[in-house]
Order: sequence, then C-alpha cells, then structure tokens
Amino acid sequence: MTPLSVVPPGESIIVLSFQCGRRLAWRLFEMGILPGARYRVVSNLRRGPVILEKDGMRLGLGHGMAEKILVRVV
Amino acid sequence: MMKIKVALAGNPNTGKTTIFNNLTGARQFVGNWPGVTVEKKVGFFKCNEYEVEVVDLPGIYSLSASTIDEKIARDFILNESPDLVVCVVDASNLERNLYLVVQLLEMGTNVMMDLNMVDIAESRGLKINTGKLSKCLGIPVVKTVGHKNLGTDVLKKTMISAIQKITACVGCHASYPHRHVETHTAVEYNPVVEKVIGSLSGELKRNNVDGNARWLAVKLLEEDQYVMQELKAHVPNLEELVISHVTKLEKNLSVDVATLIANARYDYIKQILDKCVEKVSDRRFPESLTDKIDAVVINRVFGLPIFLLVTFLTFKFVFAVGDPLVSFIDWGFGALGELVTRVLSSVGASPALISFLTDGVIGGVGAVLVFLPNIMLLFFAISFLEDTGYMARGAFVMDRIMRVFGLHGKSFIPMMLGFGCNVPAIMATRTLESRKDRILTILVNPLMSCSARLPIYVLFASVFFPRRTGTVVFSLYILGIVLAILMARVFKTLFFKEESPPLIMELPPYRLPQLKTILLQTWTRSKAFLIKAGTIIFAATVVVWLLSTFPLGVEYGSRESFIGVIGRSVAPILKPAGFGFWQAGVALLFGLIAKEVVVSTLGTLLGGEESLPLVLSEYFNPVSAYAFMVMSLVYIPCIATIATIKRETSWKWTLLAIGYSLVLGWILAVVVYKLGGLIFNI
Repeated sequence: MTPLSVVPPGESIIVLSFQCGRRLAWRLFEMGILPGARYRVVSNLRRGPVILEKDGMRLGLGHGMAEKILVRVV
Repeated sequence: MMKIKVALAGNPNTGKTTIFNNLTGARQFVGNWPGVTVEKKVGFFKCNEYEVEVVDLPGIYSLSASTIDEKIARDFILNESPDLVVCVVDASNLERNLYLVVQLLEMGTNVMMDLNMVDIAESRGLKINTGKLSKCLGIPVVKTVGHKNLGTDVLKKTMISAIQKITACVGCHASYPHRHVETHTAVEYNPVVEKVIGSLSGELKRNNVDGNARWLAVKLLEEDQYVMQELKAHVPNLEELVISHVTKLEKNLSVDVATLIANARYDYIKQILDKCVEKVSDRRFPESLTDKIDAVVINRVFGLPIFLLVTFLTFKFVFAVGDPLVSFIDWGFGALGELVTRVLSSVGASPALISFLTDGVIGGVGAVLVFLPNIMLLFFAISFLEDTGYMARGAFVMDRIMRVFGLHGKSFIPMMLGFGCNVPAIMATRTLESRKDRILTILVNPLMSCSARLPIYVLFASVFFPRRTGTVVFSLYILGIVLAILMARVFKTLFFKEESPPLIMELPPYRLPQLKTILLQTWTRSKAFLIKAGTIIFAATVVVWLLSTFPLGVEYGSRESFIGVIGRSVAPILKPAGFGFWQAGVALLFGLIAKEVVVSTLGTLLGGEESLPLVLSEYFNPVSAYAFMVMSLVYIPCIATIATIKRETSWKWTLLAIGYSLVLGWILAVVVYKLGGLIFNI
C-alpha cells in the first residue's frame, strides 16, 4: 500500500482507499476513482500533478490530492 | 406547433457541445443561469410538428450539487421539469458516464441516452449492444458521432418519440407528473440500506413531501445539504432522524453509507456493462499521441516556459491582430461623428442635438464597439485552446505558483490578458469553475495595467522623467502586479477563508479543434457582451454627456458645466496627493469612460494636446506626476470594466471593486506624494 504520489509513471495501480474527508472522497468516486478501480499512471512529477489513464480517459490530480490516495501497484 | 423543452446533460468532454450545435445549428443564445455566472446556452430546432427548445446543461459528473454546475443542472431538472433529459455519454468510457445516467434515472426524470463518439469506442475494440442497453436501463438509446454530425436525425426523432410516449399517456401524466415517478430501474441497495430508505421515504410521504420520496431518501443518506435544507422545514426532527439512521448503518456495516451507495451504483453499472458491452479485442494502448505531448507539456522543466509562451502568444494574437481593427473602428466612429455633425448643422439642427448624437450616442456606442475585435479574438483564442485540450494542462502547470498567491492555476490567463484590456480578461475568468476563485481573480484584475493606461504613463513619464521613461513606466506595471497579489491575499482572508479545493480534472485527449465550433462559440459569447455590457456603457456615457453639457449654454466639459462643478468639489480630496486642481479631477472623472480619455481631457482643459508637455510642468512636479500615474493605475476600473464585473458577478462585488480601488488609489497617491516630497525635498 503506497500513496499514489510516489508511484512512477508507466505502472498500473489499483485504488485501495482515501485519506481525505468524505466530501473529497465522494468527488473522487464520481469521477471514477473508487476502491478497486484500475488505472495506469501516465505521468507523475515530483511535487507536481499525477495523471491517471483508463480507456483513453485521463484524470489529472494535484500533488496534495495524490498523496491522499492509497494504491497498490500491480 | 407544439413547444417542448429538452435538457442536454452529460459529463465534461463527452462532445455535448458538438451535439448541441448539431441539433440547433446557429439558432442559439447565451445567457446566465439565474443567480450565478455560469453560461447558459439555449437553442432551438424544429422536428415534425414540434418546436424543441434545447437547454445545454453544464458538464457534470454527478447530481450531488457539490459544485455550482451540478446545482444548476439539478435545479433545472427539478424546478423547470424539462419534458426530456438527453444524457450525452462518451461511449468509450461507459462506466463512469453511466454513473450520471443512473442518478438521473433514480431521480425519476424522463431520460434518454445519446451514446456519442461510438467511432472511438469501436476503434478501441468495444462492441456496444444498443438494444440490450436500452432494455436494461429502460430508456431509449441512440448512437451518434458528434464531430462528423452522424446520427443527429435519429437523435431528433427519438427525442420526439420519447416525449410523445409521456404526453400520450394523459391519465398517468395527470396523476403522476413524470418527473416524480419512482422508476422501476432504480438501483437496489444493500437490504439493510433498503430498509432504511423505505422507512425514510415513508416518513417523507407521511409529511406530504412533494417529489420522488425514494430519491429524496437516498439523497438524505448521502448527506446532501440542499435536500436536507429543503426538507427540514416539512419534516420534524429530520436531521436527528437521518443522523441516527446513518450512524446505525455505519456501525452495522462498518463502512460509510456514502461509499456504500456509490459502490452499489457502480455495481449496478458493471452488471449492465457485462451484459451489453463486448470487448472484441483487448488491445492495449501503450503510449498515445496525447501521452507524448503531455510528456513535454507538463514536463517539470519545459512545462512552465511552454505555458508562458502560449499565454504570451495568446496575448500577442488578441492585441496584435485586434489593435489595427480597433483603430479602424475608432477612426470609423470619428468619421461618422464628423459626418453627422456636418449633415445636421447644414439642415440647421440645434447644437444640443448634434452634441448629443456625436459626443453622447456615437461616442458612447463607439466606446463599446472598439473593444469588440479584442473580445472576439480573445474568445476565439480561448475556444481554440479549450478545444485542443491544452487549457486543462495550463491550469496544472500554474496551479502551484498561483496557489501561493491565493489564486488558482486557471487565474493566470485572465491576469495576463489584463495587460491588454481588463474587459476580455474578466470575461476569460469564465474558465474558472469555482465561484470564489473567479470573484477573486475578477476583483484584482483591474490592477493589471491595461493598454489604455499606457498613454497616461508615457505622457507623464516622458515629461517628468525624460531620462528614465522606460523604467518609470515599467515600475507602474510591476506595482500593479504586486498590488494584485497583495489584494488577492487580503480578499482571500477577508471573504474566502476556506482553501481552494484540490485540483482534480479530466484531461481531454488532444485534438484538432473544429473551426465551426470555435466560430459559433466566439459569436454567441461576443453577442452576449454586445447586448449586455453595451446597454450599461451606453447609459453611463449618456450621463457623462449630460453632466458635461448642462447647464445650458456652458462649453462642453468646462469649469462651469456640472462635470466641472463636480471636478471642483473633487479637487480638495485630491489635494493631499499633489494634484488638487479641478482639471485633474475632471480628467480622472472622464477617465471612467476609458483611461486614455484622461490624456485627451487634460489636453482640452489645459489648452490643446500639442502644448500639453509644456503646460503640465506648471501644474505638476515629478513627485505629484508619479502620484498621478499611480492614481490612474489604481483609482477605478473604467465603465466598460465595471459593466463587465457587474455582468460576471453581482452589484455587491462590483461596488467592492470600485470602492477598494478608489480608497487604495487615493491612499497610494497620497503616500507617494508625501513620502516623495520628504525624500526629494520638493
């Protein structure tokens, strides 16, 4: 279990859980980031945004957000 | 002809706007949603004997009303009860997109689905069985390829038949308005949750609450503030009841209810997708073109320089292409004024009438129209950047830096554009989705020295600082930026205490924008500017004309005219800043119309623009000249800017923008004059 913010680009991940308030977690669900969802890390800049990809859809997350998402690298 | 109303809903980046354009062509209008500043697009089309009004709802991911966009969409569907909601869906991303469809179904709306971008889905090896999907969801499903305008006719016909089905059923329509019907396809939740939903909806029904009780009960369990606010008054102890239910549920199931509900919806969606979508080939897409571009554009080293370059080019494009057109329009209105004067005086019209038409009407309308080329070009550039997909990346690149100043990544472009003209700059804040980020950016935007202020700087700097003209002018630009940053921090702590939400954004794939879409967007947005800002600016210039002309018999804008009287009464206030004579007061007042006017007014009042450099030194010394420049930079946004602020926000924020700039401008001018006087001993 690692925070998304440290996963290098090119890896595939499965979302495990969130370390943020409910409202934010709810927001992530609605955008398709929910426990069990599988994504590919397209880009991850140190202290910068993380970009996730799935079926051609890309989601950009600010660094602060990415720190709060716990994932498993597969 | 029967009139029907249809709403277009859908996630961002599903090609909803293209579908809207395909449906309505050029018959569309832009307004604002009631009470908020988000654009509302409405269009019309005719099909058979129906006149269909199509309302383009903002792009949303859910109906939880946690953003303005979601609240707008939800309120529209609930309160305006459109005859049909068409949910535009990205066929290559069904899972996430269906989340919104499911919520619409739960709400009990009359929904149909437009599977858009099926070509992309097919190229990815997805085979979608529309018939099955339609059966599973219990709603009509149509395939379209928006950017090729394929399937539009079928979509139109299906929309009509979906509405006919409802209206034909007269009996059920009367007793169950369709929007409140509890649909058969609603998601089934965990039995324990279902029991609570049942008991809550029963409680709502007992208290005669209108609407779909099941949906409301689910919303209450999701801790939806708006639904709670609305129902609290009708149901005694509702808050306590919901909290006790939620805590009990969470204790039993050891997971929070919101997650449970979201998961149940996604499970329901997965079941449907398993039945209706076949993955013909499981091709992987290791690195697409979008990824390659992103690797450069969001790169840690190149990201920022590229973004600055794009902004600079946008800036260049808007003002380099626009300015010749601006001077052409300016010249045109000047010529028109002269022509009208000549024709009217030859037929013996009264001087008052001539002055009203030329100085008032033509001058006023001209003041609005000179902005038009810049505004249209700006909207063109913004639409272009949005459509290519770059805009979303820019926000990411700038987010960290702008956050330090209390602003948002997307605030940067409007701030940059402010150097050209604050009017299009303020309109460019529309790309910011959070209301408070928008207001903050709008409030400080007038501090960016627009091009109209440059003539003032150049005149005074060249007369009083002949050897350091460039440095002095540059110092005023820097002062503006520093003030904008400081004021943004101040307003943030005063009015918007809570942190900006962290950035989560969908990054659309890069694509070549369609000229037609961009032009259409440019035109509809510019049209709205012309109509709305035009009326306010026009009215204001007429008032200034009246004040300059009356009482009858005085020279236009002279010491004896009303504006002169006002100038004289303003003068004492300006005295501590070093320019306490009535001409300066009048010049600053006229500067309200447009900042360049300060120069031309001083020219008229101090005896001709040509001799101005000589005369100025009789009235100003270098220190008071600098104070006057600082005053011109800060003291008030011009009328066009004020009108735009009003249009984009509300009177409250407009008055704040006027008020703070007046106070700040005066204080700074006085400080400059007093301190400068001490230092340089003048």
